[in-house]
Amino acid sequence: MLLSRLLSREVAIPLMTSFAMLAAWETLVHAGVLRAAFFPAPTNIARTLWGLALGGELWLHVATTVGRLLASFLIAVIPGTAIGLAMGWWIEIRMAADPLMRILFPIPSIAFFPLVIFYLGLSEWGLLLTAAITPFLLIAVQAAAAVEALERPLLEAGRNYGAAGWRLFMRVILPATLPHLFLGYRLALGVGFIVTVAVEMIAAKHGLGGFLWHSWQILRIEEMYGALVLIGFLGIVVTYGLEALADRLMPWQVDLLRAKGQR
Amino acid sequence: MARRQRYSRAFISPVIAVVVWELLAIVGVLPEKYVPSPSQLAPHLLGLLSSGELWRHLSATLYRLSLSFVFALVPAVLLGLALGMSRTMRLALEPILNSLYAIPKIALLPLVMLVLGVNERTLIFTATLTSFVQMTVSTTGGVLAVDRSILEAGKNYGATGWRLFRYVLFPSALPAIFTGMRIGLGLTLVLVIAVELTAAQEGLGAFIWTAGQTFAAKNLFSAFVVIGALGWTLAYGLERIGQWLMPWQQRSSAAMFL
Repeated sequence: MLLSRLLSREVAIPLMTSFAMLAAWETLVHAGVLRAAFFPAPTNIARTLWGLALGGELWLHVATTVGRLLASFLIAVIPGTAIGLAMGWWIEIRMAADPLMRILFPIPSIAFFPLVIFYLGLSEWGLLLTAAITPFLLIAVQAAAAVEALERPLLEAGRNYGAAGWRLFMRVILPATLPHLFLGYRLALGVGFIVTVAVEMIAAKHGLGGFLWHSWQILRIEEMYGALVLIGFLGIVVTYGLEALADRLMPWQVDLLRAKGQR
Repeated sequence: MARRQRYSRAFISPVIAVVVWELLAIVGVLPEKYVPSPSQLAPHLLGLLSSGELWRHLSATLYRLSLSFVFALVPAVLLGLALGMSRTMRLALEPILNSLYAIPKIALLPLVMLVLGVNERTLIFTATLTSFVQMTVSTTGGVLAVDRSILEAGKNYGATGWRLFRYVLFPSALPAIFTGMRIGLGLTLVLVIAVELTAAQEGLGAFIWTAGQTFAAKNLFSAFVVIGALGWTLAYGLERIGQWLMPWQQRSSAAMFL
């Protein structure tokens, strides 16, 4: 069973190309074609990463970045969901908030950084707040769209069975909007991760972004690659891990992004 | 009529926000040193624009943005179409493309600087990569999402090869390609500004960073307004072009924010 899965084209070809790339890289470095100063061999990078992991310093950076990502997400998710759901339900709130969001949303998220640290200084709050702004807008808009897309018959059925107020919200509205909400959360975490890393590179000592920038400045190239590998790993978890999680949690739901052909 | 009403309503809350901002400044709740009022900001911004200083930075940012977008567009669409149509290519290249997609491209900046040196080329290369990856992934997804029954219908009417591609496949994938362009441009703008914040002398990012560091609140806010206007023009401009090119495409309010 496992063997046949490994041998199928879906698994075999991607594995082979990835492995071939790494092998070619390794060989070219040893042959002297690729300069080891720029492109250290994958085995060297792995060894450096292993050493850093044993030293414990690495975990501090990983934990800092993950902590910042989660903290900024928390700052964004609660008000974002509440305002978004309210925007979807009450037309007055929508008319007031929607234009403001449309003005704020296209502003590149990182441009808020100079403005935020102008008031908060180069503090932890400055980093967190910057990384929370665009996720907040994304979550709110997706939540509003989720309520708008609710099917009338569903609400009517809920009401006819006697659900009203809080019960209607918990038993009908929330389950029906969950896929949309989850999509918003996923997109928000993706954007939040980009901004977190960018902000760390610009202004933080700790965290993977700070570690990456620092190791480039003192030209510890293997460590730089190590940081890059970890950032890539986190990125993959944020991008594809959540997608898989959504499939597991809501198997009846077609992935909304995939259905539109844009991931 | 209803349309005009919708437009006028859309302006109410931003206008109220600006008026409240101005009133708060007049009452003295907002200290002038930290938060310039709209009535102070507007002449300052006009002054910066007419002196040409802001234009210099704006054009540096625009130059980087447009160059990287143009470099990325054609190869990304071609590769995306090929990946969408060939399963083998997709299986072979997706591991690389998907990992590149998941990495925040700004994290590649040190690596690119190491190889290309610290110069303009580095910035533009990293920005091009950002656009390229996003547009390739979106185009591939667009081709994959084309309705099978549409393809079958095309084939039944005798379209094959180039004609099938030109009249059936490509138009169906076009909306996704356009979304990729819009998201790609947005991400590239974020990247360009982020890099400019610390590693450039010119550009809106450099200007806003200097303003913040020297506590020049009016410059800071002016630069923020210009960056916002730029992001705005790109997002809504491309949406407009998309509507004009693909009038059959349904609009949804949330799609704008994807």
